[in-house]
Amino acid sequence: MAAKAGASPATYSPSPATYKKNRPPIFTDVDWVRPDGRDFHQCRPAFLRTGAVNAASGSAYAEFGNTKVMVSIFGPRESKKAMVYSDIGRLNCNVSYTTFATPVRGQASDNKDKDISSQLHKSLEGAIMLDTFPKTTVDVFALVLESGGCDLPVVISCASLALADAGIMMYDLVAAVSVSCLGKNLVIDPISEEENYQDGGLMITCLPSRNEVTQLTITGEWSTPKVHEAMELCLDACSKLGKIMRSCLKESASTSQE
Amino acid sequence: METFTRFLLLICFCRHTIYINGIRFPSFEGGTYPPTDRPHLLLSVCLILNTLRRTDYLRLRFSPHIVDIVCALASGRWSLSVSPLSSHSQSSVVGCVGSVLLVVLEKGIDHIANPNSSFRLGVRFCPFLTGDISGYIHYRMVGLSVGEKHFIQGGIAQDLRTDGRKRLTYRPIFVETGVIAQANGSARVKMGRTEVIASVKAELGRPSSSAPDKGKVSIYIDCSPTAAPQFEGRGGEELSMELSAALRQCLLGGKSGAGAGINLSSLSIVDGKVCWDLYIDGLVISMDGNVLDALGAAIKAALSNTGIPKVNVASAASSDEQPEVDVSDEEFLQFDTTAVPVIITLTKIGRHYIVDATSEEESQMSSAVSVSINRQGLICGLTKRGGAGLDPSVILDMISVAKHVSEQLMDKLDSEIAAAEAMEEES
Repeated sequence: MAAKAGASPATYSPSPATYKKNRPPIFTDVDWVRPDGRDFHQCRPAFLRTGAVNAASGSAYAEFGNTKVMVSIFGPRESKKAMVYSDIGRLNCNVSYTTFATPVRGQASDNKDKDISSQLHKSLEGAIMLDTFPKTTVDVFALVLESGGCDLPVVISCASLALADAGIMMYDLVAAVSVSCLGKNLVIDPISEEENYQDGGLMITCLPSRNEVTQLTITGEWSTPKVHEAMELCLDACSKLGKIMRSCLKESASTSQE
Repeated sequence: METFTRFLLLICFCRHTIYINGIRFPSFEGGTYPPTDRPHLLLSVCLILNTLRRTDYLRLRFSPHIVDIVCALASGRWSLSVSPLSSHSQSSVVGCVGSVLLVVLEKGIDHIANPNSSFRLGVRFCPFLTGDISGYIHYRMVGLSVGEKHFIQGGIAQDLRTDGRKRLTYRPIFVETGVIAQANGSARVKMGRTEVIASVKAELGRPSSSAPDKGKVSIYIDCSPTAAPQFEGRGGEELSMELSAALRQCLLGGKSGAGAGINLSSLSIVDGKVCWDLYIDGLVISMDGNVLDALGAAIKAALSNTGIPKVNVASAASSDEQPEVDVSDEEFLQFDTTAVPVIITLTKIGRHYIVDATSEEESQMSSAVSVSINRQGLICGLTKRGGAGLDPSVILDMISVAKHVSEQLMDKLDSEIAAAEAMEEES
């Protein structure tokens, strides 16, 4: 399997090329080329930075191809008065899209935001040691600046990086990767064009060093061997993404010391 | 089933009366204190040793002229919370040690004179009355006592659950179709004490520009406050949304339409002009665990009960005009439901997984995986709930178990639906 291109964030340079496809290619062909020229099993170059927002207790910015995401963490701070007592901390996740995130202005609906927010919550809650901040709330605010496919996995990975930046205790970083099933092929880290024509999708969020899956969603029709294959593909990519995230954290820690 | 003795010990530094389910308990009456001796608050201890059921509610009426300090010691079954309070009063949950909660309520001087202030302890939240009521103490069941937890977990480990079922046995499923005359199709499904209704309505609409040759399906689930008191107001919103999203994912397939339980192309009438909009609404009436599976079954039953009216299209319409359609109210086309999958939720408790968990069992879960599987044994959707992570191999094992269970459930459901349809035709 191809390794992630641009494994070191330092080598990343924003690509000037934008994908100008007028018509969707026909995906039944085995020999088709992905719109951005990647291999089927090759992820987009990941660019990650922590400390994007000064006011937040922790923040991160992630750029995977055209998907650009920013996450700020506030807290732990006092829970709202109306909430009942809780001896473990609360996690409040909110994902929003900018109006210019999608090709058609303001296309991302309120419902989609809520859906993604709840998915983000479910993926993160298993990784955070909520008992370390009782009676308080950690707010995770994610903003999708540009939606270029795989929004949710990028948001999740970016949010876990921001949480680590904020010093929230976690069992491990959360890495998320999705694959699309197009005809007979499995393509990893699909762009929105591929997502729109996918027959099925599978997303895994996992704790790479514990090899634990915190969230798994499957849509479309899958046979069991295919699920096996896709899961393996995702888990492998997750562990690689985990390493990139780790190196990003290390880098920001070492620069802040200097 | 509800045979655990729960006790509730209340220490109230005031005069009080206790009502259980609206009936006054004379034996728990507080002493007769002079109403004005606030500094000499008398201690009254009452002990309710009773087999309280989940649905019981307690109401505690306090004499209104004191600063109340209420301490409640419960058997782990009850927790004390204060919700919501008027702006006049201050109260806070002071602490919680094990199952002991301490709540301090402070009442302003002007409220002291009001004889009507009362606190209500109950599983049902009472909406605010007008007047100077400082607040309600609100008793809510949270979790189970330690003994009950062990009982449930031990039972599952030995493949004998609290209600006598095995790990992979469903509760008896009861299906009734055609329960809502106004809808094109409807069904009621009962699994134990979980009860849901699904209705399908078909309306003529315009296809979306991105998919001109397809109809539209929308799925909405509503959690009624009759099912659980916490669903009142916006309380049920979160669960409703989660259930709707899970069902959409499990029934509507991928973006291209592969693996969809409902064939969207069959809902098209005139390409790009007219199509059927299918509104699938689910209602949770009573909740005792495994709501998603019940809703999936109800939707399947409702769809097989659905008749789509036959449509005649007037042919002469030109390309940019909206064609005239004539909807027949006599002839109906049966909806094809062979591709609609069933949803199986496997709840992981300890090291084992169970199907059709009751809400008591659900409270003990570490995580749950819902898989929807169709007749061919293909996976049509999967979601996971619960925070705890799972090993990838465990997930794959769960999928294969779910596949095995799905065959039985599918047969069971099909025969139940057929029986329900036969019943409906007879009557």
